[in-house]
Amino acid sequence: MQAEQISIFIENKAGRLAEVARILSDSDVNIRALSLADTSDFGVLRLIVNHTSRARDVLKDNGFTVRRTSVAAVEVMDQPGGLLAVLDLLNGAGVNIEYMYAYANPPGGNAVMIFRFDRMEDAIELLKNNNMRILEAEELSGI
Amino acid sequence: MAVPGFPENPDSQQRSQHQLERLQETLNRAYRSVPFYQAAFKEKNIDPLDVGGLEDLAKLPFTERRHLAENYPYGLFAVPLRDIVRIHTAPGEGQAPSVSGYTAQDLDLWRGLVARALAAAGVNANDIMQIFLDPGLASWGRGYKDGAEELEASVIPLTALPLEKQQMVLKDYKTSVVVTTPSSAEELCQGLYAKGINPNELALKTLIFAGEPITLEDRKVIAGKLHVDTWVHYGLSEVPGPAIAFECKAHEGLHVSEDHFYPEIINPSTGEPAAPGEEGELVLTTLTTRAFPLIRFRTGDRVSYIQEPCSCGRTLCRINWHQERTDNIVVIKGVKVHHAQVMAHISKALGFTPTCCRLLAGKKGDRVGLEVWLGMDETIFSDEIKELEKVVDNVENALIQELGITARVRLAEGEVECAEPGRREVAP
Repeated sequence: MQAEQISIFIENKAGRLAEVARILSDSDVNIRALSLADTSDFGVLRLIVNHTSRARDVLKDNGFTVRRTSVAAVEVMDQPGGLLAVLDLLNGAGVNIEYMYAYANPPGGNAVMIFRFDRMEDAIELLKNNNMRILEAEELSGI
Repeated sequence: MAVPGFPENPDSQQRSQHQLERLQETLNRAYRSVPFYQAAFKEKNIDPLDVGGLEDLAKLPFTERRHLAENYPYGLFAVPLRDIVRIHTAPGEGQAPSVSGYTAQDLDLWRGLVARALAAAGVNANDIMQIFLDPGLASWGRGYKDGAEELEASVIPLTALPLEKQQMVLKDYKTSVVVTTPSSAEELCQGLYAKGINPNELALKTLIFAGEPITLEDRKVIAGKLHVDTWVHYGLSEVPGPAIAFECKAHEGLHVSEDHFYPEIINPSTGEPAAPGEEGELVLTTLTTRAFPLIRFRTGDRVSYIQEPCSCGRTLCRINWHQERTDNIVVIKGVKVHHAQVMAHISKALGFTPTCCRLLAGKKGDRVGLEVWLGMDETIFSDEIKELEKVVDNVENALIQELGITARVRLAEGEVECAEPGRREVAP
C-alpha cells in the first residue's frame, strides 16, 4: 500500500536540478510527482518516478546521495473540501504529516496527494477504513 | 614591571645570570614535583643539576601540546592543589582540554606582565579598556582585566555580548582601548561602518591585537578605518596567558618578556636551533611560573629574532611573528584548534565518523571563522529537512560548547570548493 519515493540531496548551486533532470532523461525515467524542500544552503528533491530502481542507480552512479522512502499516495476528491476530509481524519487520529505534495496528471480525474506521515502504517490503515483510496506503487509508476 | 631582583633593562650578562638562576630553580621544581618531567628527563639521562648554563637547555626534551592533553587535568601541576588559587581551561589538542593552574604569586606576576605590555602601548589610569574576545579566550580576558586594573585603567571585562551590544558599549561608554583579535577587530569595524557610525564619534584611540598574527596590510586597513594606533601582543591560549611578548612604541617586532620566559627558536623539522636571524618555531620555557612550569614548550608559532637593539631602549629581545605556523593547528579568532580535535567532536555529535568532512578556515566574505563542510552520504542523509537541520545544529552546538568557537556547518554534495583568497584548508 505504500508507494516508493526517492529523495536526492542537492546543494544550492546553479544547474544542479537541471543535472538531475538530465540524468533521468538520459535513462528514460519519467518524473511523475516532485517536490523540492529547500533551505538557504541545500535542498531535498523528492520524486515519484516510473522506474524507481533505475532512477536511484543512475543518480548514485553520478555521485548523488539518494534515499528511498515509503510514502502514501492518497486519492483526494477534486472538489471543495476534498483535501480537508483527508486532513481531518489524520488530525483526529493524531497523525503528523512530515511533508506532502501533489501528483501531476492523476488518473481518473481526481487529485492525488503524496504524504509522508510519522506513523505510516497507522495512517494508511485509518485512511482505508474511511474509504479513502490509496494508490498502489505499480499504479503510480505505471501511469 | 620587573620581577623583584630583576632589573628592567639588564645588559645581556646580567640577564643571562638571572635567567640561569630562574631556569635551574624551575627545572628542579619540575623534576621534583611533576612525574611527567621526571620521566622525560630520565629518558634522556639528564639530571637538572647537569644544567650549568643556558646552552644546556638544548639537551632537555621538548614539551608538546599533546602532553598537556595527556596529563589532563592536573598532571603537570608542580604545586599541591591547596596552593592553586585559579584554574584555567582552554581547548587543547584532542578531546581533553588543557588545564593550567596559578598560585597567588603566579597571578601577581601575570598581572605585572600584562600591565607592562599594556603600559608599553600607552595604556594608563585615564583609559577605559574594553575586552572583546571570543569565549574560547576567556582566560586571556581575565589576564587583561587584571593587568589593566594594575594600571588603574577602567576595565569593561569580557562578557558574552553580541557584536551589536559591544558596539553600543564601545560608543556609549567612551571606550579608549580595545583588546581583541584581528578577526574580531575586523568584524567590529565592519559592524560600525554598516551602522553608519563614524569613528570620530568614538573615543577609541588604541587597539591591541591578541591571539593571532596580523599582516601589516590588514593592520593598516583597520588602523585607518578606526583612526587608532594598533599594538600586537603575543601569548599562548593554553598556558599560561596573554602578553608574553609585546610591541613597544617603535612597532618593530615584539619584545619577549625574557625575565619570565626563556625563548628559543628551533628548526621545526630537526629540533635544532635555527641559525641567527632565521625563521623557526618559537619554544618557550617558563622561568617564574610556580604552579605550571613548562619546559621547552613547542608553540607551533613561526618567529624570527630581530638582531638590532630597539630604539625604545628596552633590552628584552625582539621577535617578528609570522603568519604561518609550524604545525597543522588553525587559529580561529585566537583560539587554537586542531584538525583531529575538531573531527573528534564532530564524530561525537553525529554519533558516527563522517565519510567526508573538510575544515576550512579564514575569511569568506565578511565572516571569519571555521567552516565545516560535511559531505553528504547515506548515513547523514534524510528526506526530511528538519533531520538535516538537526545534524547542522548538533555539530555547531558541539563545537561552540567544546571548543568555544563559532563554526558554520554546511552540507555538501561532494567535493568542496575552498580556493578562495584568504582561506585555507585545515589539513589532518
